[in-house]
Amino acid sequence: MADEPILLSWTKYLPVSEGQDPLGLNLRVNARLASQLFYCITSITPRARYYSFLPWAISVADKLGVSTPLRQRLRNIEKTFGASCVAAHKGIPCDGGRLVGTDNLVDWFGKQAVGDVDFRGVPFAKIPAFNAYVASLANLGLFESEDETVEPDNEDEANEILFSELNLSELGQQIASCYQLAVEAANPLGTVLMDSHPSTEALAKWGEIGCICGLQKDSADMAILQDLFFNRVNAQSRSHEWRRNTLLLILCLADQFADAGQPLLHINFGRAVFYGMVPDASGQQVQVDVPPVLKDVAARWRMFYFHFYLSAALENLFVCVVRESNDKRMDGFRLEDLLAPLGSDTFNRAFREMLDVDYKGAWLDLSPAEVLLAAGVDISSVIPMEHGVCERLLPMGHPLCEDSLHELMAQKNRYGTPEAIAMAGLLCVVSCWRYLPHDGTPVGNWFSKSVHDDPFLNVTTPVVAKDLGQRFRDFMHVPFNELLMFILQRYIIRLHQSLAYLKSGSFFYVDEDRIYGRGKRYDVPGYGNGRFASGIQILRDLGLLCVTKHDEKTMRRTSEGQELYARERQRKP
Amino acid sequence: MKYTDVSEIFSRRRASVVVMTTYDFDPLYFEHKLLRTTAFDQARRILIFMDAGRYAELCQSNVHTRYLNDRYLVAPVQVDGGVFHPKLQLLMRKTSATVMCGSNNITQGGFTSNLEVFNALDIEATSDNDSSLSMVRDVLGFYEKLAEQVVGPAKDVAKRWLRDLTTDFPWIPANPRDHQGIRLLHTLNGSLLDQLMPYMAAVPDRVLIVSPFYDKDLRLLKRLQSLWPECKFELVAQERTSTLPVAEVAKLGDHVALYRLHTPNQRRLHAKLLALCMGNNVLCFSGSANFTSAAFDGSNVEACFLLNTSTEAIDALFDSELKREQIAPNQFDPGEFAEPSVSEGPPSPATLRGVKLSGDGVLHIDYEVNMPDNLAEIRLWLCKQNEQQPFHSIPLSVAPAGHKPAILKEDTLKQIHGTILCTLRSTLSAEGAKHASSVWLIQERRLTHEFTDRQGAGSERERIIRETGRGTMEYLDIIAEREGIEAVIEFLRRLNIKYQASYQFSHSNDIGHYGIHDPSMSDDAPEWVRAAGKDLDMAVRDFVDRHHKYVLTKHARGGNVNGLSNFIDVFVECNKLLFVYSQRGVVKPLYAMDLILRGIGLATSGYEWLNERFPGYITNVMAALQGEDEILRSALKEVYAPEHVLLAMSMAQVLRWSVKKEGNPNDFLNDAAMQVQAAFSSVGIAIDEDSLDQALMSYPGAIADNQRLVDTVRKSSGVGS
Repeated sequence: MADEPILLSWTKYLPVSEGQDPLGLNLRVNARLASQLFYCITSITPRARYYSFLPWAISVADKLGVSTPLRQRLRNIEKTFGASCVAAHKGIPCDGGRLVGTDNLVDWFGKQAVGDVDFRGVPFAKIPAFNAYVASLANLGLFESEDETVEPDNEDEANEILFSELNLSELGQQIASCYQLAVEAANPLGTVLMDSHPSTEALAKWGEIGCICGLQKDSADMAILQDLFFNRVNAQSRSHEWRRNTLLLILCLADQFADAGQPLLHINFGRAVFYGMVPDASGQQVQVDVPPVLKDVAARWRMFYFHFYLSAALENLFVCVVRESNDKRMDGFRLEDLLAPLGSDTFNRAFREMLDVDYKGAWLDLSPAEVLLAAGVDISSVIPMEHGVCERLLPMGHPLCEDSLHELMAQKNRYGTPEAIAMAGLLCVVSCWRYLPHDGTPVGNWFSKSVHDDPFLNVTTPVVAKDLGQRFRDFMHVPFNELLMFILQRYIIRLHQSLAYLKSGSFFYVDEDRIYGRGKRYDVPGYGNGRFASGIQILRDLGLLCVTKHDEKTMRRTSEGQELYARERQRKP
Repeated sequence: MKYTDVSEIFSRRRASVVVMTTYDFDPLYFEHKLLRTTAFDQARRILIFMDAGRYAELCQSNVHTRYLNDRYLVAPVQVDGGVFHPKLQLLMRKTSATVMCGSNNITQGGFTSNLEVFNALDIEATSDNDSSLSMVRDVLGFYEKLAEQVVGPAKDVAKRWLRDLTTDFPWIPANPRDHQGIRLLHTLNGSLLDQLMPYMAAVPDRVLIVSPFYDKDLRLLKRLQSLWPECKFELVAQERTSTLPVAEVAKLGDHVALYRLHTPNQRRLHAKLLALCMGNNVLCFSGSANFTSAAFDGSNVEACFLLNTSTEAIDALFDSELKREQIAPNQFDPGEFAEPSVSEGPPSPATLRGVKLSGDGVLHIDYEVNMPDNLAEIRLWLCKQNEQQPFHSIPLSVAPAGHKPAILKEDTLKQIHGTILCTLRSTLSAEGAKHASSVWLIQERRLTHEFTDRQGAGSERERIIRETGRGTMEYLDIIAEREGIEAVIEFLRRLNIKYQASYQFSHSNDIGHYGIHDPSMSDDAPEWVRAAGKDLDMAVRDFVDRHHKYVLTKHARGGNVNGLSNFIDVFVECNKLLFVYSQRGVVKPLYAMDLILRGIGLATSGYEWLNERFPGYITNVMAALQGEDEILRSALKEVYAPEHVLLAMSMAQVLRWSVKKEGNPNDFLNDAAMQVQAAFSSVGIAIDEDSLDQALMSYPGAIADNQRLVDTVRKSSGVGS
């Protein structure tokens, strides 16, 4: 049966919603690397106490009756736990915050008289902590599985063991028992969990010793939690060792940073693993010392920061493209238009000052080698694949090293500007050039694996270095005009479009060579090391790091941290 | 005012041959969106003509396509002194066709964002309407002329395919017929204006022009003005997206009125329309032609529908949402646009015109050497899409005209599937510099999909598989035996079992499934660095995952009991594939188990995965029927749904058991087993032996004869072992 003819009809507008991570740099490569190096610690699992509280909650859940589903029972226990912690802190959020679901309980506590209380009607978090932590708990081996030993898989596919029932493993039971022991004095099961109207005093009693900030040196669950994170529980996977080594590396660097007057921030951590240096208070570069036993994990983190600098470059370029597409609205624009300002005298005058490099001519006509030469770095006779060349020629502190370029580019007023485009182009190319000697090395191979055999959609430094080499052979001697056109076309436009078609969300579209915005904004580049802050918090919770008197962000190992660090350095994994 | 979702037209019915034309082509949009629509599902051949200049640019652009010149042929059309610009699409079916003519290119903008004008005609072979059948003839005639202008070996393929159309679809008239209906006018028959004139019964009193692009000197408009001096001209354009020379417009006097168009959602006007009003009768010209002399005089290749309509229909194009507002020319800001035009790059030392792999395994390389004296070497590289280095390299002669046949070895031929990029790499004698010219390999044998005759397996079988999914597992074995594993992988990748029915959400409080995930990656070189490999395991799991997502979840969300049969068909086929391929060692047992459990979740009360709640079909059907459980009961019984779900549960248990091989399978996965029991108890349905036997008959021997599985399911159902 023929359909009615459609004549002189306008085409329908089909709205498209934008997605997160428009170039796939974070949820793909970044997450794959960080998930190995911070195995079982994620950006949403920052508190060590949850790693003992939740197994304990599972262990007592059955005692609360089995008529309600386990998930609901766990939720109820978590809510009571939240109320206890709020009661223990006299109605204010727990130290360090991050206790899931307590916002409403804090409000409720403010209105609640002392005595017997009924908080069951108070709304709780939509996503309880259990949801955030359960995968980490499973990966740490806290749930029962007959396939306890998971062999690392050479095919880079994850081995997966699935649970349809949630039974604690022996290790899970031990940890649950330790939490029970830690809070035994408060007897929460008898007085709080089983009681529909517990007293605020009973709640507070549990909260004082059981709260996430209540994990102390002498807490019964402290030692086992330390064992868990530092893999003294004989978990077999390489990732468990990498997590342990990452935590040790942080402990190792914390004191060195503090000595240099530097805060324990991921950006300094990146500098330490990438350049082997951190700046001190006077701006001088101080060499950091990493013991041989931690060299391997430091080298893997260095790969992470190759990806970090590449992400900074590409995300900044993406911001520029989206901004331009929205500014130009229906006019659209060509990539040549986007690059055109980089050829102007005005731009180049200002940019020379900003970079502190007196290059001659227009940026677009210069090659990276020419810009480096203007900064006193002659690469004409260097062998790019030779190890150590880049480190010697472009150490930290040099105005054209990745760190300096990133620092300049990361200033908010630079987002989306022609300067950001020029810096992103140089950052991308310089980091790829520095990466070349690592290509084909074991750690380079490991890094390349994060691409999951789809280098078109999973973009990272080895991919870009290879593409640039393939396209231009000696890309350090190719003018920025050509390099930027290629980078924009391949890693911004095409990459975003391909990912957007898969997820049905795009910030712009291309028609007859012009790029048009879809009215969606993307003003701030998104990249970083999301798990680093969680790692620091876990080390603080475990009593191994503490803030110095001067600054909340500057940290040192505690005496216990010193002991553990010394002990673990000697231990053979 | 009418708005049409053009992609929806492609989702209505299957076509057996699809021919499309476009100036600009976005293969990513095409493959991810259009190629997945019903029209292409079983298309035997797909031919896309595009502008040769744009094609050359596309080849150099690193676009990552999977099926270009493998599933569909892109034929570049060279137009001397102009551009190839028509947007004329033909969907051919056994006894019907759809012809679409509009202003939209095959790009994301053309299909989703731009404001375009679009026309579509459905034509039945049995129609006694001469104009309809003649339209198909005219469209085919246009394509046949286009094929003559195709560059490289795609020309012969396109010509042969078009010739085949007349024999494959005998209802297409051999010659055009006289008629009074909608006509196709195109520039391959000469100037559009010249062709238009005979159809004009009178001098127009009003002419409406909608176009983004105009001549710099408005010469076309001036010509029409001189032809019809009393006529009023209305120009509709959009600010910032036009080439309208406003100073020239201002000089034309009161007979020319300029309107600016306001569009919602930043929609860019890309539509082209010329309406000649003679009283209430309007002759309308709608298609690819901008209002430029290049378009109307025939420098470009353009195609438009010529149709009769009324002034009401024309005026109805604009309203408060799509408003046109008269504006003085000097207040109109046209922007700085340029009409698509011929772009000429620097001469390259050698050009690759095309490469074709014929059915007999011979590679036909068609290239031109433009600077023979300057060349030291030319080589042809064959590269897979995501690979940097060639998997095959052929040295070529530097003689001026080149056509080289090369016989490829069996091992090389085996690597050719999916899009292959051919690059002619020329090394200059003097400085050793390299130049590259690329095209996509035309894989002639793979481009024709014989859905009707796969080694005697028969069209009916594939039709049934695509309609219902039934027999997929068995059919894959036939393909594997006769064509090899690569063919199985390809078949699975392209097989989309039809979703048949429509569609809310449910709550369940089960604990879900959590897995130990070891992300550690080894330090040896990855596949993409060495060479990409194909993986049957991935093909099977992708297939199942895709059908869970696009068929089962859709049914589960909708909770429409009428979709149950389709749900069970797809559910059963997915489980069969997983279980059998797991038994064969292709898919890891726990992966297979996980996917089967997800399917069971979708069939019953839902499941949770990575903090996201997925719906359950039975739960949602019960909610939709609000107490009329008998309807659900009888529907479930009719398709042996409880038995199939129980069988799936037993498969999962056997797979789980197989990892440790202790105890018996019924001891495993108790929560999931309870979920299954609870789902069917809630409907009040029990399993009997006969039904179970009936259900088992739909499974191949590898399942029905698996004694452990049969014992497990009988024990679970309580019908005895």
